[in-house]
Amino acid sequence: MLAKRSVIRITVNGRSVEVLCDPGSSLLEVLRDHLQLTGTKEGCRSGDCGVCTVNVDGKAVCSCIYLAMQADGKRILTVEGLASGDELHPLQKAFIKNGVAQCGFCTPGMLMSAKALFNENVDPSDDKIKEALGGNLCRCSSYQRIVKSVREAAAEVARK
Amino acid sequence: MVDLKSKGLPCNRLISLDRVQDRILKSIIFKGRKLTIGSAVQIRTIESSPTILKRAPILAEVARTFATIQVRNVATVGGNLCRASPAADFAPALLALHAKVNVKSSQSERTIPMRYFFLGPGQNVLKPRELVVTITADLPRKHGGAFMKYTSRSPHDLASASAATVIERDRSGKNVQNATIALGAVAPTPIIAVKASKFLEGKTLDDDTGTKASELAVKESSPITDARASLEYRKKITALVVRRVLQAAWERS
Repeated sequence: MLAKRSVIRITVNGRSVEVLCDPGSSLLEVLRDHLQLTGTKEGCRSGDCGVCTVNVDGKAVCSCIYLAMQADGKRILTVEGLASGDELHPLQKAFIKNGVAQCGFCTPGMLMSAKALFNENVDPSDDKIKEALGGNLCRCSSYQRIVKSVREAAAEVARK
Repeated sequence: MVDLKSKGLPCNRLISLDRVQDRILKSIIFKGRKLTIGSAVQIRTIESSPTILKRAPILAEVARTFATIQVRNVATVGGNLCRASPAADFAPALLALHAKVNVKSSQSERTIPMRYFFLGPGQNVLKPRELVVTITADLPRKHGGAFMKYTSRSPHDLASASAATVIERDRSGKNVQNATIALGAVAPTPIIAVKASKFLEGKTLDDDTGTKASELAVKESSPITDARASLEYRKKITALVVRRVLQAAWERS
């Protein structure tokens, strides 16, 4: 029995889009399959690993277990939306400078959790950084470089 | 959602409460000593609510170690209870507060004391088409509360064993007037350790009574061996978390 498809209207990275999707679609599926925004990754499909983290109205959310229908009317930010035109976000610059990405699979999720942290806290302590990124796993063990990068990016954001 | 997406649970109809207009679902209200929490309040909201921190800090303590931030931004208290995991993080604290679950259907309304809400692992007493609207609790005037969970690695994990307690001292301040000890993840449902709770009445909390109470609590549990811990280990850590929450709640009371 095919589910009746519905239209959702979301703002993704500043652009308003309309998507026709299955009501049971996750936000992750819509971002990757309908909008070709493949920066957000699929990992565990159960909200445990954090690679699918995006920002919904400024808050970190696991898109794999978040219904696309729930996103209707909300503002979504994905890793593709971090840069301003050609100018990389301080987080992205710091991640590159510190060589964070080994396999790179956790990286978008880490960036988005850090971005959500910055939305609430412009001067996070290392403990706060670790807490904010607690829901993002990295199997290549770049954790120390990640915390260092977030710390440096926070300082740069504060300077602006 | 996890079952849907991760385990491919078949689903004919999925209803989200996101658009339900009734504001009570997302409210946190203190009226005198009565606390009302809407079932759709996010865990993250409880974590950072100034009034919860002031009047019912045990609930903020639960929220702080609940899963991950991504989950806390979306998950709700009602969801945590209705999922009825024996390890549900909010259950022990709400049991210790003698909370009630207020339920509505198109036909009727009823109020269910927390201790009757869970039937078994993953099973609650809700009938089809019933909705949890709010959770209410009458907070004791002066009390100390504490929650602790023991996990394999990090707070984000499911509890291997958890305990919550709410303690009120008597007028002299030297002894326990009322204590309620509740346990999670060590029985088919979250439970109140009735004998352990009653044991402390009229007594001061010290190493001796605290240890005895925690031993009584362990006797009232019925843990199993699973991926997270063995039965024997669960008994040991139950005693530990009960002892710790009793001490913390006593100091805060």
